[in-house]
Amino acid sequence: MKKNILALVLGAVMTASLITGCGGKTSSGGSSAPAADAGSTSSAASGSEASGQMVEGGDFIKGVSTEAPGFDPFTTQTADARSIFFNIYEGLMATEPDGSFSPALADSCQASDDLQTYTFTLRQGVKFHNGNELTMDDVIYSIEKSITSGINGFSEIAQFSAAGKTYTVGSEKGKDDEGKEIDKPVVTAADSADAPADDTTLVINLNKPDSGFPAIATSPIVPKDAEDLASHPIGTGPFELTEFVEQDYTLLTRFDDYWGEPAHLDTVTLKYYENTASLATNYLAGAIDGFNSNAGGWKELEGTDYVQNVRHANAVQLLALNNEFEPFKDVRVRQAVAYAVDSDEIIEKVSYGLGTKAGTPVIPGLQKYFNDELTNVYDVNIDKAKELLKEAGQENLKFKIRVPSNYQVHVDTAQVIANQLAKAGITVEIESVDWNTWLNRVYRKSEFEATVVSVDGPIAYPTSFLNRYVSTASDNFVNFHSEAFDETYAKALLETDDAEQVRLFKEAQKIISDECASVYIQDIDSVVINSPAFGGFEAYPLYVDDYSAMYAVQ
Amino acid sequence: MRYFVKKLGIMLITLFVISIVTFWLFHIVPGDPAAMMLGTSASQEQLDDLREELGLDRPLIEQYTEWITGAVHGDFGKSIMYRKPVANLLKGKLSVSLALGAIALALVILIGIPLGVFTAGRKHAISEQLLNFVNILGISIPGFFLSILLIWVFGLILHWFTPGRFVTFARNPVKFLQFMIWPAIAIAIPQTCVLSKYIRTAVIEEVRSDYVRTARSKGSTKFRIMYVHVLKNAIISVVPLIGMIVSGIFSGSIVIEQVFGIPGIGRLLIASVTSRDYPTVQTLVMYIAILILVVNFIVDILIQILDPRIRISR
Repeated sequence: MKKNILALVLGAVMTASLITGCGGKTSSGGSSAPAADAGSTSSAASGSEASGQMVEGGDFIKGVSTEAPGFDPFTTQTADARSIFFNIYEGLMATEPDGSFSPALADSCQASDDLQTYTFTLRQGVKFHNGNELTMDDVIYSIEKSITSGINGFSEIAQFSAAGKTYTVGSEKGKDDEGKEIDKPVVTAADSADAPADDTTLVINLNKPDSGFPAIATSPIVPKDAEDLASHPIGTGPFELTEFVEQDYTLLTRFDDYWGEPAHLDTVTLKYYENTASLATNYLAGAIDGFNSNAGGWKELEGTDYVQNVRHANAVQLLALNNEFEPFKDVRVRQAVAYAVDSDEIIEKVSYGLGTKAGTPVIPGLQKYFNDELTNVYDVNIDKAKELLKEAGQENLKFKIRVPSNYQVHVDTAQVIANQLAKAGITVEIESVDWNTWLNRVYRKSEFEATVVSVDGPIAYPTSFLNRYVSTASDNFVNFHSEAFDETYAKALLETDDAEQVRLFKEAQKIISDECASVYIQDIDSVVINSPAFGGFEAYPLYVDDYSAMYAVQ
Repeated sequence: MRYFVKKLGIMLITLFVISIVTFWLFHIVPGDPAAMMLGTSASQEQLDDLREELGLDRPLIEQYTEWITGAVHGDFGKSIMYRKPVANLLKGKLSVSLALGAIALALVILIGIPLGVFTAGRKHAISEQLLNFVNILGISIPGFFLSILLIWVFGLILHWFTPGRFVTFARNPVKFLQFMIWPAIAIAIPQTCVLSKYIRTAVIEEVRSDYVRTARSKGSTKFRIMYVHVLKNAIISVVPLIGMIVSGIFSGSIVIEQVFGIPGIGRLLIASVTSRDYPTVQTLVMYIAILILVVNFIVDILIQILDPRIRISR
């Protein structure tokens, strides 16, 4: 009857070490960066984990409540799919638990002084799950595919060259679904004397300096002749996908020809249950060995044997305010709402204390870039809220929170917020809609007044979280428009000096906070429950489960 | 003969109307399958490409005509969610749901009929009163609640089965049955109660008939009268109920598959509704409609054969 809580709170997730990870040839190198808080997250062995000995082999069954809609990394971008991809696909670079990047399919990575050119050398003797050896052709194919599919970050590649050819990125006119003309990226290849002649060197030229490119280079490399990745994914990762039964399970099997250290477990089964609430029951019944518990779900397990791992979800939960909604056009009204919302109470009541206060759209886990001065700017102050509303002539403010019904945690938060705002005389109506309606109307079309949701980032870099606040960004669903922000953000992207870039990213966050684009509540901790029969849990600054590190305990 | 042709014609028209209504209803629900698949970080280009690939950018009538033409030829289109032919997707799921339905139906018949006869024989006994109370309870209790109760008592407390660990028949038939019996019970209980109530009424009615008096005066045993003469006639009068019970079993299993975590068509139906997987929903609705119509058709024919009294002359 022992219960262990290993709080694996991620420390500094991103330090400048990400640059040392790439050859260290940068202007303000990572070596000087403070490594003190480079949060080593690996757990100190706790009671129940130490009780047994690590054994090779074993089958782990994880209960999940979402299914990956296909396994093609170029078309599927959901967080849960990425979590599976992490085990079957690899990129030139790999994300480490501490948030740094290390060479994976590349065995080295060199950045130029101006951070605009990156040179990778291909690792030799790497095999794909289909038995074929990894070649430069596969890498070129994958990069081309990433560019033309519009994968996050790849738009900054101007050209790349390898094996005597240079590939230039251009654009052609296309039409979107509303018939609007848009530019679609195209890649054209040409023989070039400047390109590296050998088969192992790849040079990538960016259209602007970017110290964060190693994060982008974690994008999957797939074989060039792969036909149907959506149902037959082929990667180079420690696990291969051997079976997928819709609405039932996904089976991952250890890849024995893995180039790196092979996984310990024989198989990992992701058993799908549509109902999140049944995960705890199925754990109690012994049908599964672990699951990701949303806020409070683990409470049902009281009195049983389990290991609780707490990690950041790496997504900021916010009360998103549509800045185009008439009353919210006035910054004072937005601020009034922010002053009336008590984030501490939400963390206490909704996430049972397992959450980190945010105050900015950047996740607190990105310590290097996270502007912690903003966390308490809008601490609850009902008088101030009332005063601001009076100034703005909105004493009878009324608005509707449209919340996605499949996320109980957001529905609960909306209810707590409604009570909090009532104290400032604001009337809130809650409307819950299903996820698909939410995606389509709230997120894509901005048909909402306010909503509660968590926003995550595909890569562990501030652009992941800040880019959507650029006035012209297509995913700027809160309709935030600030020239000051646009300017500062653009400057930050171009800045080559590391310290100055960090300052600019923080400055950009301050503008968002001053303008009160929305109310940034918390990064809700994600609780991972595992049976004491398994160890080796690793937390990453990404929403992923790393099964290669896990092992059975006897 | 003309009767059957007419029945068949009505069946086809019903199916056609159902297909139009589901198609139209489903398309007025807001939501976009492309956005659902790609998630929040997808670019506009990716969305457009996918919509074009899936044919979602074309007019509704065109989409419907294409679907119905394919369906008539046995091609139900491609699932948006899984990007594979809907027919392939259904293969595995349909057998699971049919097995679940068959086990449930067997339980309903094997328990419902004797139970009905038993309660009819004891009109004023305490046991009859008690059974009557249980019957009402069984009819009125919601299926999902019953499922949770079964999981809790037999799974978590008594450990007679492992909730959530569904095993396919092909992999282990014994474990498959051990697991499937519980959801089948949850589906069967309300239907069993309905059936036994009907049987009871029918039996009580039959017992009052002249032929029973004759048989009794001839000296037949009570048992023989009950289970040979009376039951035969009583069952004929509840045959029309079978159609209702089968539809009850199928609608019940949609909910119960969720609670027990069974990968059947009920679960697929709900999943494809939430992800706006039009072709899959459309096909599933048609499958269920066909199944129910066919069962009712067979019941109609059965009645004609079993009971010459209501045979239609025209």
